[in-house]
Amino acid sequence: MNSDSARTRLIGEVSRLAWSAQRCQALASDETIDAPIVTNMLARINAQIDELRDELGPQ
Amino acid sequence: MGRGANQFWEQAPATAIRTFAERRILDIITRAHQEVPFYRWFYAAHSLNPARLRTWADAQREVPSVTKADLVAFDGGQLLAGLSLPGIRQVHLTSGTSGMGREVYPRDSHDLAALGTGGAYSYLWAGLGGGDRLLLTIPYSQTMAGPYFQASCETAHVVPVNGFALDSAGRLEALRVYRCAGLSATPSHLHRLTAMARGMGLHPATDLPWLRTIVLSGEPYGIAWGHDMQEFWGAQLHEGWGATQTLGVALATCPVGALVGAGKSVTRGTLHGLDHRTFIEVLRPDGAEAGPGERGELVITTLRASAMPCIRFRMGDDIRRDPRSRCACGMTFSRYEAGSIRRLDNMIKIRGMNVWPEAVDDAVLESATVTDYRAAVYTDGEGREQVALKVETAAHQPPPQLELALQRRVKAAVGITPLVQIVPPGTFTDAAVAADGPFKARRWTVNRAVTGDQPS
Repeated sequence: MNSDSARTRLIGEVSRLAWSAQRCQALASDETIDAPIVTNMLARINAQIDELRDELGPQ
Repeated sequence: MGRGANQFWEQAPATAIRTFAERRILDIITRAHQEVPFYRWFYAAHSLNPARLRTWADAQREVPSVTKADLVAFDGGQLLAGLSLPGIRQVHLTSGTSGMGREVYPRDSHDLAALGTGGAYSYLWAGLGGGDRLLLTIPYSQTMAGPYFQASCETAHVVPVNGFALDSAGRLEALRVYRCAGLSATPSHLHRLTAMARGMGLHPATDLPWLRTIVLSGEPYGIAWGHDMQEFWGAQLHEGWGATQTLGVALATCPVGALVGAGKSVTRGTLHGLDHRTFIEVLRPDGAEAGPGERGELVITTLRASAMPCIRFRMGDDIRRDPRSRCACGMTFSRYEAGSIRRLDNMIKIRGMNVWPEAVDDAVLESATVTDYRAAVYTDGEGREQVALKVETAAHQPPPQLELALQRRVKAAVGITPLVQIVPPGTFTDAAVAADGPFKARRWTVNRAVTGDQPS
């Protein structure tokens, strides 16, 4: 696999990771779970995924 | 290249990075105008309508640059205003030693996620990583430095050894005990550690075999001095430049290092701009972009900062674009001369602290018995940076304890305790400030050991 296709595949996986992390944060904010520490950690993970996507660069 | 940090950006065509950055700048200006109170106020005051901006050329023509005075004018008396914005996780202040007030930088979770990325480029390019220990010596308080250093180490997989609170002897001991591969220091502090190590008979090249990298920041330094440091420490010099305004490192030396060549042919190395993170302009006094080899003011726009971006912020630093056509590392990032970034105003770095003489003026001349003073910044016989004040009083019998009172007042104002000597009335007959041209205090002389061969 050349580096371009490896990078394209990585960007695809990170996109799925971002979608999943955002979904987790939405689910965690359900007040019946009542775990602000979990919500806060997911917010931090989402911010880090945004930074990760910036460093990966545009597709 | 080897020792890279992110091949995609390091080898991207310069035109592609530029296109990416210019597009993002327009987005940032629009968002800042909508969401950041300072820019709403500032752009309204300059009648700027960001919706009219279509290209970077439009922005360069119409978007006003920002200075510290603008930020302080907005923040005046409302230090905590930024903290009440939603999503704020930290607040970083500038050092506050200018006498002009402190800039306030609220940070959100996106800022914290980005805080260590620039520094990690610097460390990885300097050959650190993989659990290497790095001795940190730069002092910090409510400034960005503390979280920045920790985040940079974490992102580069470097283990920080926190030497802020150690004295110089303790720091030399920490280099040995922790088997540090790297040392982060200002040039002046490295000079101090060198004098102490020489006095102790320490030979780092053999006694500290793990040490291979020294990352300098905060001050310019001479080529001959740098060469001497590399020889003595048996380590390669590197440099990183950044500020609270840039959310960490924006320029860093590549694996080639801060000095290139050998023997008498040693020249300054290259700082590379992290152009996908910070947009860099170098503006000559006439406002035009500086060309290769030319100096100008560093003007930055942050592309990653979220809660408080800096847009066309005039840093007050004078920088030289690399006169060479390329760097041996082969990276496409913009290039600047290492070791020669210096202040345009009167600011002096002393022991890692930003000191504006005007702030010392206020502290010393506040006493009615003081008529004038002169200050000398110098490197003492033990390599320590000292500030000596000669203070002239109106009376031949000054108040008791005046030296102590002045030491305390200066320490409170700028964080440095000076040596104080009282001199009799009429000692100083020369004018304290220049009569014409840009204001430059003449009360101060700087005679440091590390900056002897500054280019003009």
